[in-house]
Amino acid sequence: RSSRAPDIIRTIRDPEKPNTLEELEVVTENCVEVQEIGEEEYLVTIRFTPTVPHCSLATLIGLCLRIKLQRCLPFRHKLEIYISEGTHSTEEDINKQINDKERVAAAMENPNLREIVEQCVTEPD
Amino acid sequence: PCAPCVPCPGAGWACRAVLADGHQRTVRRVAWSPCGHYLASASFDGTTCVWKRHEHGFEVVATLEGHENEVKSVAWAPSGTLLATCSRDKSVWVWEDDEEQEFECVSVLSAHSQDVKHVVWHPSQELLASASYDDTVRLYREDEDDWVCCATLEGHTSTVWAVAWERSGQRLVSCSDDRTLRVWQRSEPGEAMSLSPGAGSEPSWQCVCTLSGYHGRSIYDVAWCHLTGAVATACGDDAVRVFEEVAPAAPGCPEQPQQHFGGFSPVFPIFSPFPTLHCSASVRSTSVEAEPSLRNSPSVSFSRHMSRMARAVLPVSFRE
Repeated sequence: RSSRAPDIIRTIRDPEKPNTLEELEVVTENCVEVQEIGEEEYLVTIRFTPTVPHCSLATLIGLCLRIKLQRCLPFRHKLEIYISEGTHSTEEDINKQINDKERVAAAMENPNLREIVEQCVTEPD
Repeated sequence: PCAPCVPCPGAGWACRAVLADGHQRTVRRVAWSPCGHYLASASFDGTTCVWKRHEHGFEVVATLEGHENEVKSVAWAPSGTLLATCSRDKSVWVWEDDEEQEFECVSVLSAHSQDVKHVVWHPSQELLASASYDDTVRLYREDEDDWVCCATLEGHTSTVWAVAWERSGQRLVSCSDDRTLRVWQRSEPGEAMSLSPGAGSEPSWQCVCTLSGYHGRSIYDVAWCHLTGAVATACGDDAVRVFEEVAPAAPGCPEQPQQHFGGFSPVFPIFSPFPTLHCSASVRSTSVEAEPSLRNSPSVSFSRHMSRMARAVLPVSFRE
C-alpha cells in the first residue's frame, strides 16, 4: 500500500457520485505539495477542485481528505487543505472551515457526517 | 504561586474521580469555581454541567442548556456567582447562581457573527472578554440590569482562539490563527489615546503591540502570568513560547518610536522572547518582527514535549 499523499487521496470516493476523486478530477497528482518543515516532519498542502459549487459538499470533501491523510500518512505532518483558487464563490469561508481543527473534530462527532466520511475513505477490499 | 522549578521527589498524582456520565460528547473545557467547591464542564453536546465537590466525589448540581450546538468554553467570574459560556452558535451566555445552585440565564449576547471560541473574565471586575472565529475580541459588561457588548477589538486577520488578561486588567493579549499575538490596552474616556474623543463614557481599547514572525502555525492558547507578567503561548507548530516585556530602549536609540501620538509620546512596551530580538515600532501599534535568520528556525522557543515542568521555565534551553 502506497504511503504517498497523492496515492492515498486518489481513491477517496466522492460523497455524491459513484466515482473516485481522481476520476472526477477533484484531486490530481499535482494538487499535492509536500515540504519539509522540520526533522522528518512535513507540511502537506492539498488544493482540490470541487465538482459543483455546493458549500456542504466542498466541506465534506475537505473533511474526507483530512481524515484519510491523518490516518494513512506514515510520517509526521501538518496538513493544510484548500479549494483551488477561483473555483468557488465562498472559497475563503470553506477554507477556513476545513482547516479549523475544532470544527473538524466536532464534525466528526456528528454521526451522519462521520458515516458519510467513513464510506468515502474506506478502501475497498 | 509558581514554585521554583526543582523536581519533587516522591510527588505524584492520583486520579480521584472519573465523571463519565455528565456529557454525551467531547468535553471541551473545565473550570474550577473561585471557591474551589464547584467544577464547570463545557461540552460539544451543547450543555455545561456544574459539579459540586463532596468528600467522596462529585455530583451534578446543574446542567445549563440552551446553546444550539457545541459549547467551546466556560468561565467563572471572580465573584463566583456568575458563569459565562460560549458556543459555535455565535452567542455568549451569562448565567447567575441564585445560591441554591439554580443557574439562571441572565443574558444571551449575540454580538459575534461566527463561532465563539473562548470566554474569560477580567481578574477583578465583572467584565467579560470573548474570542471568535469572526476574527474579533469583544468585551461585555452589565449596564443597568442588561448585559451589553461594550467594545470590539478588531485587528486580527483570522480566528481569535483565546484571550488572557493582565493582572491589572488594563491590558489583555489575544492569540490567533493568523499566527500573531496582539496586546490591547485600555484607555479611559477622555484620555489622549482614545480614538474618538467625545464618544461617551466608555473606555476604549487599542492594539498597542503585535507580535508576528515568531509562530509557525495557529496559536491556540495564551496565558498571562499574574505573578511574573510573562506571556506563554501554545502553537500548532508544536512549540511553547514564553514572552516577557523588556524595558523600552533609551532615548535616541533607533528602536524608539519617532512619532508622537495625540500630543504626548507614549512609551510602547516592547515584547521579546529570550534573548532580546531586534524590533521595530510604529505609532499606534508596535510590531516586533523576528530577524529573517531566526524566522524559519526559531532558536528561542522551547523544544517540544517537555517531560518535566522544570525545563519549561527558567533557565531557558535553546533548540538547534
